[in-house]
Amino acid sequence: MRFAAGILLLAVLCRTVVADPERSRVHPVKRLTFGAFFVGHGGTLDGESEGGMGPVVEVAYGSGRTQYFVETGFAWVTLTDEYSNELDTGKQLRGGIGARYIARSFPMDNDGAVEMILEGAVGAHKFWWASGDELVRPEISFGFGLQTRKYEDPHVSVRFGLRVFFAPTGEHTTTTARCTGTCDTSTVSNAGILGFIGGAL
Amino acid sequence: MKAFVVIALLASTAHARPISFDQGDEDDDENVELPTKLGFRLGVGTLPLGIKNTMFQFALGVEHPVFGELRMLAEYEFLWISSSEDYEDPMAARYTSMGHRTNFGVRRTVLDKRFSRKQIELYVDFEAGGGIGLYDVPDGSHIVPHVFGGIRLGYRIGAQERHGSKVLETEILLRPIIVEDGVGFGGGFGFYWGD
Repeated sequence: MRFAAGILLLAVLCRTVVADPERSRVHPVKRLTFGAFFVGHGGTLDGESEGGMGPVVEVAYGSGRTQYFVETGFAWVTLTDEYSNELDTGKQLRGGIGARYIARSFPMDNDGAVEMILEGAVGAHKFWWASGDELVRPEISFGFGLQTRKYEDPHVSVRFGLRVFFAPTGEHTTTTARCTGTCDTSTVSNAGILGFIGGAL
Repeated sequence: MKAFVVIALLASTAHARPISFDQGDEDDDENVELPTKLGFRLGVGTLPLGIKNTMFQFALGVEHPVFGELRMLAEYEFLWISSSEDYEDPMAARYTSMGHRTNFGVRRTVLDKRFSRKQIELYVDFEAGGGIGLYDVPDGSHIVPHVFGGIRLGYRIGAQERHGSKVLETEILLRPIIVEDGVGFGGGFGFYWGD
């Protein structure tokens, strides 16, 4: 419910209107772009801390102020318990499809712009742990960021941002009780945050 | 859920207002009617919840002028919470969890100075408001109302082009947050686009 409410809020914010059509006009994105990013993530895997970093590449098809992208990435990951003891290390492969929307665009001398982006993706990731275990989790993520974009050749854009991701394992279905005040159970979460910085051409 | 309906109503009333960075003399202090804004903030803070914690805050926010320089703000914050009974004890357990928080309030510019033919403006804003948060920590989930007051230091740039956003703000926020069990803190740096 909270996740759904967050999505709803994001949609509402995204649709905050402007009265002047000229002001709401955004220079269209390039039709096809290729991007490379450095991504770091931290989160929980059935309540244990999991984090890592690595490269991500994407191919995006753009129209107007929206881009639809396919992305894949690789990360070196570590799993630790609540006492910071290393439980396992491994590798993670991610893949997903998503959409990016330029919510706001501040023009700079008609050559480019500083823009606020909202983006979301669905996909999955797979872990190969050193212990020999493997795990696949579906993943849904959404977030925001800032990019600087040049309108003309070479159409370069530099982007940084952050996404919140949810990746259930099916092992734990505990959810926070719907209560007020203080509850006596807490969520066994499978979620995290993912930060990225990179560029696209 | 009601909070989200309120935010939806606030956002639906948003419309563009003129910005007048290019009016008047360099030293004028005339009011600048700022447009409706949308932006985000990355921050960090803490809150007294019965366990020591650090909250990484990722906020989406909207602002809308009420009258004069008084602006109404609404925010949603996603919180990534790291908590421990004792951070200084390497043997103490550390937990990570999530939280969600909404904030409603007003802000007003108390000091400003414009430069570069009015295209850049430094400002100091005060803000005040309240809200409610849901925090998952090891002993359970807490739903906690709060009030806050804060200060924002930043600069805004006015656009010369006729398309796109009229203004871009970059700012640092320092925000004490008061809850039933004490005073916490939130703050960070944010970017806001005004249309």
